Amino acid sequence: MKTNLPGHRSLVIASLLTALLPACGERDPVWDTASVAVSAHGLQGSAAFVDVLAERVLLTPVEKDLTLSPVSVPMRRGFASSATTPDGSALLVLARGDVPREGPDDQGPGLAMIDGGASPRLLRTYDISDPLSGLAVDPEGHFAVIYPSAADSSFVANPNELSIVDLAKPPGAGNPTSLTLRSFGGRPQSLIFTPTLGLPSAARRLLVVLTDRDVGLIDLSDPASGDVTVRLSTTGDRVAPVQVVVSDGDPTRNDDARLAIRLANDPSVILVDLLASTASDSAHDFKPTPNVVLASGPPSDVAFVNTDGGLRLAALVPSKQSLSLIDPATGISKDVALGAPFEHLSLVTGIVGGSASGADVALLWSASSPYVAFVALGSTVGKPYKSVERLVLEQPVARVIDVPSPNDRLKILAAADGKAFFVLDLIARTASPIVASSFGVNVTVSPDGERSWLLAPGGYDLAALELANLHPQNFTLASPVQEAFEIGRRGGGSALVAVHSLGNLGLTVLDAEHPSLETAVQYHSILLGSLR
Amino acid sequence: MKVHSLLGGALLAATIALPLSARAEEVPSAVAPSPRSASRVPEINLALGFRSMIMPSIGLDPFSASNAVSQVSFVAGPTLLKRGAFSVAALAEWDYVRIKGTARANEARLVLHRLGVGLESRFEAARRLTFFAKIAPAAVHLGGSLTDPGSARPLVTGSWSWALDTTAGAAFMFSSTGPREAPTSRFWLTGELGYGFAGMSDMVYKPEPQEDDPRIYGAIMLPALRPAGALARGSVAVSF
Repeated sequence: MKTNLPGHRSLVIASLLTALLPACGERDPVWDTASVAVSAHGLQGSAAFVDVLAERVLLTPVEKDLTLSPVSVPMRRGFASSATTPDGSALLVLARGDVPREGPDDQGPGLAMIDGGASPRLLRTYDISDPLSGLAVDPEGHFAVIYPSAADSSFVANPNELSIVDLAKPPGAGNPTSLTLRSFGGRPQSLIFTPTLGLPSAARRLLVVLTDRDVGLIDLSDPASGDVTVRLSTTGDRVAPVQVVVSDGDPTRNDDARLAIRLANDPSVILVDLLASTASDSAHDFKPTPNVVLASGPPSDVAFVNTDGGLRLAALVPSKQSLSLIDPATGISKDVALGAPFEHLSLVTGIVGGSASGADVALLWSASSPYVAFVALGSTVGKPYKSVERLVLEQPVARVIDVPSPNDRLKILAAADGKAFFVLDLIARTASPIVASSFGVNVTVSPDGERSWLLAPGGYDLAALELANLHPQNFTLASPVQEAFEIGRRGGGSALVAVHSLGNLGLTVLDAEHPSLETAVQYHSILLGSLR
Repeated sequence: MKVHSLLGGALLAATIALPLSARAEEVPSAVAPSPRSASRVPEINLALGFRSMIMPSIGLDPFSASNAVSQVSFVAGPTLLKRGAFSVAALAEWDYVRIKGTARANEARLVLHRLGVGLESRFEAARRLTFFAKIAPAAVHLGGSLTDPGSARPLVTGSWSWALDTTAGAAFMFSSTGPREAPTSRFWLTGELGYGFAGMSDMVYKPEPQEDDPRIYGAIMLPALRPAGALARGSVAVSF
């Protein structure tokens, strides 16, 4: 066989031609990120997952056939916190942006508002002046407040700086409003949004800021006018406010709205009357006028209640096993002996019905004694109350979960161990025990009030409890469940979205009204989907 | 898309034009056979090499940190027609690659098969040097899989799409057997450049089906993949 060898030049050219193409172009860095814990939220029409490393919120509306139609909404860098509006109609995502901002393309801090319905989309983004991390949402969903939190680590920070966002209005020159609280050395600890109060010139809502030593009041209709500070001590004694409750008083009057401020480990309660301001140089038309009243001991919870004798401040005093009823006008206190220590109270008059004179009924419960009590605050001869009815449970109650209508006569009482529950019927005055086989079970109630969902985070079990007949249905899912949300389905009905935190997040979607594993749809690695 | 169409059209025109030119030069070739036309018809061509592509599709991102994809390539086919320095060959080709990467810390695999046929027009510029242009429509199968710690089985996808390679290049004969004027076999190094067009494939993943698993699984959609882009092919070929 004859072989004809090629020339040297030919080999060189051939080698060049057959050289591999160089690697070029790089993929989106998100594919190089590891899976991390995401913040999950249940909204009206979708479950939302804040995918921080992908700089997006993944929302998963559920179709009628329980399949998902994921939507990815981009968000700014530097995720700080997220929260839903109380009705689940919107998701708020607070981002610090790029810190420090060095280039024209760097992002500033902002609060994104995402539609929580079945067709999720970015509604608007409010630019914030400073990269702060604290986010408080108004229970009525109209306002959000951004404030410094412990997570903020700027070189220099003003802890009394707040940004108030009116969520009903688009971003603009006056929205958000930034202000610095007038401070006497304190810094904000918690924020409370009041309901609408009849104040001297108009009905409006207030933002109450509890600092570690005083209380600031901000008119939410005009936050730029700044705050009015209620100083709790002028003698140098450090008193710490821990709770504020409000009363609008007589709805026909605009001069009897008042606050009650409970102090830590102190029998004193500060009553603050919001009277008309007479000072011409004041930016506010109301003037807080504090008075000190005394309970029989340090109260654990306070509330304004209606009695046959008129408005009273009810203060629970566990150390005395009593309920102090304090007349806000005179400061005179009368005690109701409870026979057991109770730490918490809530009014249930709207559910069980009050007396003919409008006296309230209070539900009391305790984390230290296994009792709940109903206190009817009408009066009988010689007593400032009508009746105290106690129920004995197997365990003390750590948490009370409200149930929406039509089963609002029920409340779910959770023991501290997360294993024992009681379904309290406020009208029948019964407490039905519900027992889980494992500790640390979380309970959520469906938005329609028909059922509750129970799961132990990290376990495979999930149960639906029909609240009409207290019938539990148990399911064992294929993967550990971390949390679950009941949301509306496109085309009607509702679905339960159970979240599995393994890998890039899995979901099991069940028909919430007729839950069954036969019809459930499972998803894996949803954080890999719908990426750009 | 417009650029793609123009480029494809130009290469297609070149492919068609070369055999026409071959007919124009047929007469001198017939009168005096030259060493250039020493090969026989039909001649069988076999080539083994690789097909490298710059694939700027975001659908590739879950599988690879770069846009470069190199496939093993096998091509076979006969020379159908030869007129002087010009010839036309048919070809069938199979290109294959298996890519393994990580998608957000999960193992991701992509297997790409390309099965094509084509026509190649050649011009033998010198005894050892041939230029050619080629057009090769193909079917492409994309098979993807993802591991997920929450799933006992991998999530898989598979889909077919169309493709069209339009390339031109040169072949260098580095060896031959038999007489110089009429070699019995010739060995080539070939290199070609061009553009590969392809349709978009949806990458919809579900756990691998299993007969004894009655559960219903929903699909997740990763970015769609279009295996298109500038390409180069290098191979070692033999003609006999």
